[in-house]
Amino acid sequence: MIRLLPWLFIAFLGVFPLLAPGGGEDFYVSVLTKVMIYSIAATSLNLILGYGGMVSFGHAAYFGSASYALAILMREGIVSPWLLWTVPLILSVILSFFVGAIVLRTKGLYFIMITFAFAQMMYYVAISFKQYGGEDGLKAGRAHLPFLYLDDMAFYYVTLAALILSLGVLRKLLRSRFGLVLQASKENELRTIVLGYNVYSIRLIAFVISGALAGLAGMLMAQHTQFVTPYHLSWHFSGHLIMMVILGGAGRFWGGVLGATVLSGIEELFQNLTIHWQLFVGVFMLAVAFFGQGGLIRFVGGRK
Amino acid sequence: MSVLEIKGLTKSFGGVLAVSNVDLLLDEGEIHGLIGPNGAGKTTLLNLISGLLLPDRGEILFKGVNVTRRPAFLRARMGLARTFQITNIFKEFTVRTNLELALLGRYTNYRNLWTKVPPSVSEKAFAVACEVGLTSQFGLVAGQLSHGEQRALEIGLALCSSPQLLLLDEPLAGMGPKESEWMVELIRRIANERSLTVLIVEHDLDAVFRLAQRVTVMVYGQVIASGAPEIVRSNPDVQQAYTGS
Repeated sequence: MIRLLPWLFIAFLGVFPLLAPGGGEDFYVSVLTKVMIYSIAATSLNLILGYGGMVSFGHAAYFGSASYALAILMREGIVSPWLLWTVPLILSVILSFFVGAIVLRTKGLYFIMITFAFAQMMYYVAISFKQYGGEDGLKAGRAHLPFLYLDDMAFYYVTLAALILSLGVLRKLLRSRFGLVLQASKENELRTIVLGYNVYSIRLIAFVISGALAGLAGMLMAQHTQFVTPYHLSWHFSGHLIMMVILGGAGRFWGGVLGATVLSGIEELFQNLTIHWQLFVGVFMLAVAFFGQGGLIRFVGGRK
Repeated sequence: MSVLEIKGLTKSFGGVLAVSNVDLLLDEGEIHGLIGPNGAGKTTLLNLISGLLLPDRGEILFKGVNVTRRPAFLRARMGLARTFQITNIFKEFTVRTNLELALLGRYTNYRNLWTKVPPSVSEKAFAVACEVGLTSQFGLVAGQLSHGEQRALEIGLALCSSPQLLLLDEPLAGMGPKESEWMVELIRRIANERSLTVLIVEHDLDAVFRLAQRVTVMVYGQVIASGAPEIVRSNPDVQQAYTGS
């Protein structure tokens, strides 16, 4: 029964806009779109952090640069949906390959610091371009598909499809041979190497797939809010994603979705009550650290 | 033909010579014992051979190929397997997954993103479990096995790549007399059936002298004697190194 809960949540997401009082214009439909986008991003981070043991403290870079790429293309007058949907993704693949190829030569704290440094570089590059909004961010819009005009309702379902696709990719990867070797390299790197596996290449593949999924989430975010902000390239956002993964359950299949949902939920709930809502997030994180090691997913019987 | 040939191998850590100008030849199919007091550089030598450390000087030829600077995973793929002093297995995985994982690289493309472990690999995993006597533990999580069973599993992992050379670092460490006896028999049987070349580092000298066709003695990073067990045993330098007199 308890194993069905995540699927019930997905089913709930599927029917919610149809039942919501305001239909596609409903405030909560917009909130849930954001939750789903963050779920994709957190799930992408979970692949490398939870299953691969790579603590990337710069995951905002792939999310944010895909966001920016979409907004900049639009700003430059590109309207082709094919270009708008593929160029940002390709960019995040190239970027994560480049960063991964370098950072995966380092370990531990250095790995964290260098992923952080690359993300900061992207952040400062973004805010230094005044014609693209600088620190104020940049207007974006929906990349309407040839067969589908993306109003809020349609966009909600596109996002839901992207979330299901991401989870499907994650599941398939984790059950593949690649996924087995990836999890092995986290559990015991030395043993994996002396068994004859190129751990570096395995991690790099995971890093790039993760970067691509984060880019997908970033593209969706630019279209959801029709605006891009440097926040989505900042280390605050990278930290936010790590919090989601750890809160939900690192290395647990639904960990990213649960963490993103709960954290966004707390945010929505408390920011209406007090401007000090982050205090409550902090207390909540402490409680999870003390009582729920392995993440909230433990309480709902989540599996690996 | 010699499976492994080491020439003038030297490695120092911060001015201390851990391995100093070591020469070693392993013939095909032999069990070769490597003994010496603590800190003699035996484990360092194994790390150099398997590629976890790079030497300062000297050469390592494996099956006639110079592998001195080759990364560890490539040496493993060439057929060089090892175990560690402290048991090194995937403790959170089952015995079955441990073995399947170890077999993937040899029989399939391990970078395949979409396909599960094929049944043929699972069958081979069970065959290896038979070989090291772990059939009834096949479904158990490796961390729950007894110490001896974990050591056996580690040897099983090493066998999965069908190696030509097996490096064993103190396989009997922490074992009682009965378990030791069983492990010695296991090593002898595997080496025979697979015509493996084995280099075994071990503090249990009785076991080494029973198993090995040749023995090499290291002290302070240098080889002080090498040859048939009875000759090495009666060597005065060796006796002095062990008794300190």
